[in-house]
Amino acid sequence: MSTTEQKTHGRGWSGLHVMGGRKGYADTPLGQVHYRVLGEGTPLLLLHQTPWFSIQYAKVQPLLAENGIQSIAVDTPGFGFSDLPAAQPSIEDYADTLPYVLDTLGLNSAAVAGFHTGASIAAAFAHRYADRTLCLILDGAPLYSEEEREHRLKQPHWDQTPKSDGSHLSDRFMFIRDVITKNDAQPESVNWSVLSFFMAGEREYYGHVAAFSYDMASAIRKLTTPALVISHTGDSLHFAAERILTMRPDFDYREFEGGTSSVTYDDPQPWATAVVDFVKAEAIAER
Amino acid sequence: MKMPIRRGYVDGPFGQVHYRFAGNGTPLILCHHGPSSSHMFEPAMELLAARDMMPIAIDMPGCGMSDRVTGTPSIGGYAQIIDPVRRYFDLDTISLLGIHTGGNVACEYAFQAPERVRSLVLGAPMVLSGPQIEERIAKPTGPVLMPPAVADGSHILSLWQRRMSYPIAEENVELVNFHFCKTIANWQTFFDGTNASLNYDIRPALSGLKVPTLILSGTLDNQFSYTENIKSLRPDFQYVAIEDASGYIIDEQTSAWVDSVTSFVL
Repeated sequence: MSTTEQKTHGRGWSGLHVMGGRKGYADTPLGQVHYRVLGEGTPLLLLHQTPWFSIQYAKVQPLLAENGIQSIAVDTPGFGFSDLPAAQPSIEDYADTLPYVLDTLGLNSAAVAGFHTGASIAAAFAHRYADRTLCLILDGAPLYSEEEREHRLKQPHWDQTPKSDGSHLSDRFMFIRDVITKNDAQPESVNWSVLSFFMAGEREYYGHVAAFSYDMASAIRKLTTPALVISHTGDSLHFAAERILTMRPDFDYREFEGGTSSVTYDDPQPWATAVVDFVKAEAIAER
Repeated sequence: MKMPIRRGYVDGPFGQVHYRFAGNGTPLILCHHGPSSSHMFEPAMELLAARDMMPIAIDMPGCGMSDRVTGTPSIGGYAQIIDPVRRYFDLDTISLLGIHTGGNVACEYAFQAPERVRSLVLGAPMVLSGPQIEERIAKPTGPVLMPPAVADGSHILSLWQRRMSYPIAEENVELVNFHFCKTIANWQTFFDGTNASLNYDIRPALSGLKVPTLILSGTLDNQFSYTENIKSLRPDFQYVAIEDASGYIIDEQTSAWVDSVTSFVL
């Protein structure tokens, strides 16, 4: 089957049931936070990009479970099935909900991995709760300069106004397909990107505003946790990896050729393998 | 006093059952219509809680965040998730309300466990006539296969157009879009509930019900016309028809709907 045919026909649609594991809520200062837990072993928090939710890790979680990792995919407040915060949260606010998730699951500490906005939250968690962080994995961490962040914050929010002909949905689909993932993502992951956006509703900008407001560089300079930086050369945030590594040459680094912001859904195995190798090595070092 | 809606999970026969609840008064379990989830009751839940009720809205298996049933979805299968929720909340008896497919589920449960149900409210359940049901039983409808995601995005548009074709009291794209976005992540089960209703003969349960029952429907509901079939079977039920209300009755006529429910249940 050619790549075009795969993109056209794909596999059947499983909807939310593509996700395995056990679901639950933790009570946090930002309301009920929803999560999915799969597997047994070293605990690993998985934090998604904006405006996705735990679906981003649906294909990764079974691979982690096969390798002795208990992954906990968290819906950031305001996304997926977590409560919408009453006001704009900061990245620190998001990070401050995670100890409640660990407490609910009876876990003292965990490895933490994040993608894009999720990486910002992961860095903030490792910075603020070093004693509860086994190790840190940053993929596409949005390390912008202060000027870049200010510029980003001035951009208008996305328009979600519904149109009776459904073009608000199809236009977003084409935008994700052609502009964000440059025709290199599978229809199913493009679909999740679109659905996540509309499921989050008009406050989906909370995630990006928090990320662009966050001084991640300061946190990264002070981190005491072992860290792995992952980057995909096809990802829009690939440029930031070099910035982090310049700041922290002691961090591990894995680079993958190509890839998009949907890579954990479209091509989960390489990502899972890199994460398993790092987390297991750190878990052994910890002991 | 404002009583927030909280969500959680109960273990059921097909995996985890997701629910929303509010308040601490008279328990009322709510079952949504086919392509929806417990979110559809949210506009009414705080009002019900403020009137000394405890609404508990359940995501039917395969809908919202509840796990799927094992095998072919059926009304009898869906009804099996009510007891685990009832027991989780430590309730001997409940009032029960269901809309469309949820109405069939509620009716089936109340028929099987009358000692557990204090009162029953059905919102425009599908009640086919004798010849219609015989035709259905002779030719049961199979599962409707939903389209996978395709590269041109047309799968989303086809679902949107279907959703837009449902009757509504007044054109309201925002309202349609709100419910569409709340349910679209589960489009693989979009027709499971409707299909289960089509393959279910509600007449034995309706005829045998020993529970006080209210039929509460909007006059613009696409299943309102079944009211006559219900009346011919059960003239003793109470009937309330709310004007200017469709299948979106809870959004369109929230206060009138809550008034009717509370005055019957309490």
